[in-house]
Amino acid sequence: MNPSIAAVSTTRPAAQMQRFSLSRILIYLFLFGMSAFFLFPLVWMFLSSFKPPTDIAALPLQFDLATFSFANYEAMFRNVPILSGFKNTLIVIILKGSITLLFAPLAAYAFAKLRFRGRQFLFNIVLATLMLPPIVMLIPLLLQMGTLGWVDTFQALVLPGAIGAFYIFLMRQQFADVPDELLDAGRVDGCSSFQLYRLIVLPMMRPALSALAILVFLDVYNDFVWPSLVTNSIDMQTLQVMLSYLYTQINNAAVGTTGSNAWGQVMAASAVATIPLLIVFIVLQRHFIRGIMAGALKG
Amino acid sequence: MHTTLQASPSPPSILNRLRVWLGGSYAPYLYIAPFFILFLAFGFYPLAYAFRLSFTEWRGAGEPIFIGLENYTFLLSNSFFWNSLQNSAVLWLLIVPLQTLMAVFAASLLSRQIWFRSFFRVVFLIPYLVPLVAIAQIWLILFDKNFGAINTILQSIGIEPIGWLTTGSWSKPTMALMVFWKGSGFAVLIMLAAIQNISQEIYESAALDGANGFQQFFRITIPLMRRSIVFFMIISTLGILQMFAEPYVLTQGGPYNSTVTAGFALFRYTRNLDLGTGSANSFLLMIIVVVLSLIMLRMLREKETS
Amino acid sequence: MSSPLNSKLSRRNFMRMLGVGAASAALPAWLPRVAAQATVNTDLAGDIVIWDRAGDLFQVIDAAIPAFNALYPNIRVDHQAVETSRLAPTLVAGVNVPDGAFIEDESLGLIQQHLLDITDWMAPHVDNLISYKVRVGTFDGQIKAIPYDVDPAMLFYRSDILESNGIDVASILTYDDLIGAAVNLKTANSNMKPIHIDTTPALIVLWVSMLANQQNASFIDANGELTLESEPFLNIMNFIKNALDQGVGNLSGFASTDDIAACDQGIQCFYPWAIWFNYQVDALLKDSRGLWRATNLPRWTEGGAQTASMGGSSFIIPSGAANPELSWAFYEYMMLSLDGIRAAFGPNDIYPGGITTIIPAYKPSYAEQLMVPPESLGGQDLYGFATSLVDQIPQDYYFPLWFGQLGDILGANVQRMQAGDLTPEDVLSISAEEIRSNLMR
Repeated sequence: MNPSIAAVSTTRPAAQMQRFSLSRILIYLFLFGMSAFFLFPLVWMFLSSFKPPTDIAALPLQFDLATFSFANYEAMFRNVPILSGFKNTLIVIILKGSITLLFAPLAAYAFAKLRFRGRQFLFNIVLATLMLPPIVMLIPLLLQMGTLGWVDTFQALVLPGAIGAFYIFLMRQQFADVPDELLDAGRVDGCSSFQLYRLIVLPMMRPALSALAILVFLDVYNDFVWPSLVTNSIDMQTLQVMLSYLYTQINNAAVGTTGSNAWGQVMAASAVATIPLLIVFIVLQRHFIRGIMAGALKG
Repeated sequence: MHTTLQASPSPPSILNRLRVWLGGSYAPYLYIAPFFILFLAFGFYPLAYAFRLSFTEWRGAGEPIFIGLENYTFLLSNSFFWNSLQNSAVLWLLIVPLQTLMAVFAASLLSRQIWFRSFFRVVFLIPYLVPLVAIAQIWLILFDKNFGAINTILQSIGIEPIGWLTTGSWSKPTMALMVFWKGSGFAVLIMLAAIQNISQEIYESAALDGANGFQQFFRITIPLMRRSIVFFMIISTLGILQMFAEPYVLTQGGPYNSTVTAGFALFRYTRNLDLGTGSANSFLLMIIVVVLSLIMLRMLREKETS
Repeated sequence: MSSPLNSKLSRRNFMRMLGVGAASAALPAWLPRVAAQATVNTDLAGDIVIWDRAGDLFQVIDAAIPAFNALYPNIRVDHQAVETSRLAPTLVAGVNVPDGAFIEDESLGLIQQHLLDITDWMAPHVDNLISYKVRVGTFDGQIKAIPYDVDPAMLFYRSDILESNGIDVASILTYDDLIGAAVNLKTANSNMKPIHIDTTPALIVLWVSMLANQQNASFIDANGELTLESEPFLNIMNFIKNALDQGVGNLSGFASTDDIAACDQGIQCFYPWAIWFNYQVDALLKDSRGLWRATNLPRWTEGGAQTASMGGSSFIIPSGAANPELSWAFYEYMMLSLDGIRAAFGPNDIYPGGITTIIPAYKPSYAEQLMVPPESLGGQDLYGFATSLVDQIPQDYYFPLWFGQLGDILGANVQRMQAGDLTPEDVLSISAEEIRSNLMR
């Protein structure tokens, strides 16, 4: 077990508990203040998505339950086939996620625990790719997809950027914590390097793997630059692409209007894009926090 | 004859020797192969292509015209290019120091046994989950000059409407706030992970020496978390220099180029199909990123050895 | 990369050969309507993908497709609502290229190398089109765009205010007259700042571009040389400065709350703008809707033009289109025949009174009333007035490739002049320097 992961879930000794004091009050003021700062835009988004457009602008901080309705959601769902966006995003998440979860930890294992010539050099290459601004590759990559005939296909959405260097980097830091003695014992028992990986490393690294899964999920779910370049037809668009077009479409239609006519729909769309993540987060909350912390710590 | 007979099994022995030379097994190469295959196919190739383009004038049609270093000299003598770096630097100053400090401080609180601890952890992380496209829309509407909630609140206490996203002086802070809002939960988690590793005895002995919480924070917490802090700062620096989705969805770089980050500047060339200049801009940015990262890593190492 | 490029080139040549045939086959559509209706073309067959900007344009064109199919029953139109920004990368990648697409005129230059040369097909129609539109769609002598709309500029004014102050709009012949009239109004009502001066950088550029076009000037000349430091632009800057110095220029951004209030409250009563200002009057103004009227712009010089172009869009056929001759048939019907124009601009389900913010570039349509005189302008015959103006639009206009980035330079510098920090000469010389070092090679 990674000691850092264990530490997260344990609590501080009671000696650390402080008595009520001015500083204690200030601490809670700070924490609640920050919480309000983090929650306000979201609460406001959800409330606005149920308000008639005029109310969003007129009374931004008040709400009248009587005027709450799903009208914005209905209009928004009429405007875009958002369910097909969800479906495409889900497919990409499953495909890209599987490839990454299969191969990124395997590569990380090789870099962390196996001896082979050129290991440091090859790992430095992995690190160097982190420094590349991804934007530089957009157009050449698009041209390449054109040559391959992959525009508007799932290959184009899945393969570029799968097994990202950052994921390998994070996993390697984790795998370094697997005690070498365990692996040596396994070798003595005649395990191949892949058996060591499957039987010893993977079971130990479950929290790290769930962290990886979560990070990949978030990355794919939120990505919109590459998907928007490489998909043409609405049948292939992912959720974020659809949303970004929905926004420009709504805002285009509303150019110069008193500003607020389309806001309800915009907020409804934002809410719909956010809710699945919130659900996943609340269900997997512990893995989530632990996983990201575990990944972050070893950086 | 004898020697030739002995030589005949030599091919496998060469392979054998190769295997020994490689470290005893081909397996590790197999394990890392998928990454390198994908990288060669969809990373290296486009990169090499872009590198070639950076020495050409090309608008996406016909043959690229080789123009040597002209794209680079054009950019280096171009106030837009330097302006984009300056914007990124200002955003860095607006975001990173405050976010780091806030994250360390919040983490030091959240690592103690306090009420609502898991509530705070959840709440701090929630913004990290909201899709950027959605956040930008929330920001656009909240900070709208005429109808936004923020100005409406300010007006109720007698402050004139502020052009948060329409004036050059406010656009950067407004965008920085969005980045701060979205990323702080992640920062807190990184710091929280690091702080858990600080031995409790250090605090206890410090408390015995009469150090108050404030002193403990600055004399123990921050120095002992240096590695994580530098790690976070490197990530943030990379992120802010390459950042372009944020201005893309929020301001399109405006008003008056005030939110054109280094990343958005090169995106703009690409969007205008000035692909040669865009590529050159990318490589200049890459050099800056590499140099900055190396400097920060070196600073970290020097501190640790001293 | 060479193989797709070659195939594109050869396909393009092939299409050009085809084009001659297609143009003659499609001739009836250009001939009077009755003849066109009589000839149902079944020879042209296949699928075309047409991209249009989402929103009203898409809906209007979509509704007109059945009528097109009545003439061309064997062309199946796959009509898609696609963001304009997607066109450029798609053309570069050369995959899933549409057979036709909508684009703003200012962006034509950026993608013109990827567009089909339709000079031969357009030849029979050129005389029926506003020459300014043909000019901005022409690159190196090749026509590459089918005009959609033309957006003439005019002087919008509050008829009630001018009447009550005894000002006859017909007496405003020059821009000096305009300032003179504004000074008179201000003398009578000290809170007035009669002339709208825009503050949004992108709109400043569009507006300056329009006022330059009125003087037959543009940011670059036919050779691509920067012409910012010239008399026409100095005239414009001096006008803005003069209006502000005299206290008769109202600084606000088109369609902003400030602007709406200033229009409704009669603070500003002169709005020199494109025809689409009517959108603001119609949809945003509450108190002064119906009180506005449109007249021609003042002149810069004696005998000069009384209007200019401010905005506008076109349709293009990519050189990589699979079925260019079919999409040409589509656009020829939609934009170069009376039937199509009626469907696209006249009263329909989406616009019961017809479109009241732009007019077609196809002159034969000017003979009939395609727009119900808008109530926003008190029932003024806006269509008749606008169509009477557009032939005056000076045609020597050239969009620079960096038009979209001018807001950051020229727009910002004009703002600094509005704030009193720069002189008109400074605006031009500083902007020219910044354009040369940042946008030009």
